[in-house]
Amino acid sequence: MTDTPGLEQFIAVRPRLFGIAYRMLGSATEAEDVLQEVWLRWQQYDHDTVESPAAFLATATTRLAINAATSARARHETYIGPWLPEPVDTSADPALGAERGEALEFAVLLLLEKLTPLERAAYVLREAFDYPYSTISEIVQLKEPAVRQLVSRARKHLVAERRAPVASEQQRELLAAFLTAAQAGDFDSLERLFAEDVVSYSDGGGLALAARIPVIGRSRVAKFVSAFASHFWVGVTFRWTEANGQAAVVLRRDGVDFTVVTTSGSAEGIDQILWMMNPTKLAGVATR
Amino acid sequence: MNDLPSGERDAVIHEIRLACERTDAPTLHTLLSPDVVALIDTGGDLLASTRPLVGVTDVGDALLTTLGNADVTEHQVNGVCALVARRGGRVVGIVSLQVRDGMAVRVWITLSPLKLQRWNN
Repeated sequence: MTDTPGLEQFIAVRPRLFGIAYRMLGSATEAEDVLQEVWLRWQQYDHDTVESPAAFLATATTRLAINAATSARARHETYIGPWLPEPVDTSADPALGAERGEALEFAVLLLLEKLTPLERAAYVLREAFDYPYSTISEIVQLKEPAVRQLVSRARKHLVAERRAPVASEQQRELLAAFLTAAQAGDFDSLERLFAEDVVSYSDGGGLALAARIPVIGRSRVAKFVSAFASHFWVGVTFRWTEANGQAAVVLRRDGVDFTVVTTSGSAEGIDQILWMMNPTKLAGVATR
Repeated sequence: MNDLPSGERDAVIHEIRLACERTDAPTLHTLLSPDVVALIDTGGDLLASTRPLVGVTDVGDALLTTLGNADVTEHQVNGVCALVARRGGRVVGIVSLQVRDGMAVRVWITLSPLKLQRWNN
């Protein structure tokens, strides 16, 4: 077909390589950059020593995509306004080089963004491309049990978050994780727990303490919550209760219940935090 | 993430397209969930960037702005039906939607010129 050594093998698996890199990066442009780099490396390689070009190329693509995903993360954090994946035309190739059309929709790609690049790689190779665990383990250079764990964690994460609203047990876990991060004023953990469009509402019943305007957006809410961590939680004890059928926590200071906190989770993490500080409404929940 | 048979989801997306074409805000609003959220990617442009939009009014307005006065087609984007808006033959916006119970619950609007570049080659 051609005289360029290795070109034929590369072309044969190119759609698959693009499918892996695109799912990991959410960017067709960055995926093309990865493929360009893979091609350069492949050209410099002694092709006769490679038993399976397809496996070699998938491995190189995944590893380079993991590196690219790590640096992309930092860029997305400083991106002004919401970051979305680059849309790809799938009218010709609905699965985009994969065995299955998994992990292509915006909702899933946005969830994948919240996983570590390694988790993302393991999930994509397994769920979209049906790679055996032993192969994935070679590609990401981890022992097989660790890979199984990565995939299962990613799967659990995604399946749980796909359902909206999240089951009550997970709501409770989310709230517990939120409280831990909030008390520590841990900005990064807070951000990871939040959906991009998270909203924090305070119902202060006109009390000065509460922010009257809802705080919207992942980093704004994380900043807001971590900003008052140093004084807000001092001397506070809490106990679990239920508000409107949802897990809630009553905060108590100096023998007085002063706030009830609930969170609700959806497809992309915690999407709503409610600080109920209104004394009238508080009485109803706190005495339960 | 197919919460619905794709036929039902695609029907909602089709209705949204028609409502925008007619600039019919009241009908459009019935196709949006009360707690609908829209994220708009403007490519990191400081002046054009928006916070996430919440609710039928703001999200409806964003849809009308993106899809109104444009040639809009239903097209397979990222494996599912989405709306592609063209002006003067160029793709100027892509709207992806998540539908539940006959209404859009999530709207993702890509306006970033960089992310639309491959659609215009």
